[in-house]
Amino acid sequence: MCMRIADRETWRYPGDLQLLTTLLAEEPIKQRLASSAYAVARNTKRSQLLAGAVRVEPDVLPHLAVAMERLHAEFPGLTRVECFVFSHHEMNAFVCEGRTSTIVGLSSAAVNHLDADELMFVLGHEFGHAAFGHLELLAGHLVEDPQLSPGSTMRIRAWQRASEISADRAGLVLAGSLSAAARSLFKVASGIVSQNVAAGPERFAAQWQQLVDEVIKEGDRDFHQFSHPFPPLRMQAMRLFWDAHQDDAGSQTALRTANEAVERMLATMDPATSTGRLGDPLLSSHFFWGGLYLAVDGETLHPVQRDRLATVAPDGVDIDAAIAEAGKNPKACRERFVEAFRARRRKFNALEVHRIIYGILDVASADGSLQEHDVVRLRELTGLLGVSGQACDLVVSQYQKETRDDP
Amino acid sequence: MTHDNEEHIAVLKQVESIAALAGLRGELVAESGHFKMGFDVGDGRSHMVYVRVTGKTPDAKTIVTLLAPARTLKKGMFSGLSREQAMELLRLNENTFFARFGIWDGPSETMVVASLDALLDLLDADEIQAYARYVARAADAYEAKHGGDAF
Repeated sequence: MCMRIADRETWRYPGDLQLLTTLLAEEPIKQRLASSAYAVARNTKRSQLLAGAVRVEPDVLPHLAVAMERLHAEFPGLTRVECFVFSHHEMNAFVCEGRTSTIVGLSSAAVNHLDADELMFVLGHEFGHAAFGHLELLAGHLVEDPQLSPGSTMRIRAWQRASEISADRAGLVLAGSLSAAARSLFKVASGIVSQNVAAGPERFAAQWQQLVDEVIKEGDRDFHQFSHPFPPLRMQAMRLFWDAHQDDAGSQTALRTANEAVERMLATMDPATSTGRLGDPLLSSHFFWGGLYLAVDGETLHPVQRDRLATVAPDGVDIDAAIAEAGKNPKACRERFVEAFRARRRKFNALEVHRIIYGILDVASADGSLQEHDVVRLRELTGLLGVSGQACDLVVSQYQKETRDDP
Repeated sequence: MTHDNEEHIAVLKQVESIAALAGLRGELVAESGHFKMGFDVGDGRSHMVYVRVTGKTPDAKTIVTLLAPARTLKKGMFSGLSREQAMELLRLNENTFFARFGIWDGPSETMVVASLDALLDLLDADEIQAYARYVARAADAYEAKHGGDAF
């Protein structure tokens, strides 16, 4: 089925809607959103801005007013939107729900240093937040609430990051160019205001792979407090979205593939996702090479095993070439597994070691069977991680029991 | 099941995973919210150690507590924990490695427990084994001294 970038429903990253729906149904969050403190925060924002900022009128800032006109036309569902400019040296913007209107705030630095397309990206991004219902949650207030459990706070932060992806997509489509979006994001993230900024989307997005390599080597899982995804992640997510629509055969499949890639990228910032089977992006290489080592042992790889390997393949690895090589020289997989293990600068904790074993088992037993020779190879690999054969067998029996109970 | 309960069970499953890496078998009792393991503490005696989810640090790291019940005392006018017994626990706290003694007050009885807290993320297989043994031995030594073998 063909799709066009103008189709609004494609802008919203599905993970955003899914997480928002879950959070809005959580009782502690419902209670807090109904409390008077949140109503006060909502009601006083406009008066604060009127006192300390200027409202954009067509005759005050004509170019901004023109942009606002266009955005109103693009988002007819947002009936009353007011734009304020506040004095600040950093390029920044926000959107919030006032008592009777939606309020967009833009810093003076953003107005002074962004060109028309870059500004449209920023404003489109903020309008996107409003149009997608992101203002319902008042996340900024909720995460400050000491009564809310750390688990809830982590889920709110995970949703905030997902919501930024949707908003970026709205900004991108309205800016009309990946280059403008890249420049805008680059300027806002770096603070560089030169008109000579040449932040190409490809090179900016490529920083993502360098960043993720570093995160994996460090074994760093402390990004869950971030309200926004890493800038290169945002850039890469926009590039994937854009490319999915540029394809002549632009289809739901291309967008779905892009969304799945974004989900994996966001998972690097969310420790909660790592607890899911094969869901830990920091351990993908271990799942892949360890799983392949077991799966190729004296047998043809089952298509289901290949499919499962594909879900954890490290970037840049040609799966079929890796399988072919593993068939000829299984020890190479073992070496790659060891390399991945040694590349880590921080010690693996016990839960990660356990997750690695389960991940390997998930790949190896994807065809529904786990043979004795699989367990022998698993013992060999887990021995490298410092796990005794007896403990390995206990984990295997735990795994088999769990998969029997919850296939 | 509430989110909190689900989170607790998920944490206990992680404890079970770490224990397995140490070669320790145990049982996750979801209804009571603990994971329990039995330990041979020598001299023909054994002791149960329970792991419970007890909280989160300000930066959202999960805290688990390994604990072993050591003695139960009926409450009443002339029963319960005496001043001397309380002093004994304080002295033991000063002399015991990797376990602290404390009491749990119920409506009709007081339970003396030996326990130790750990951060789940940092707990490794060797540690859970060592910690559980220390807690089991501390509780069992106290129980034996007071003539019991109930736990």
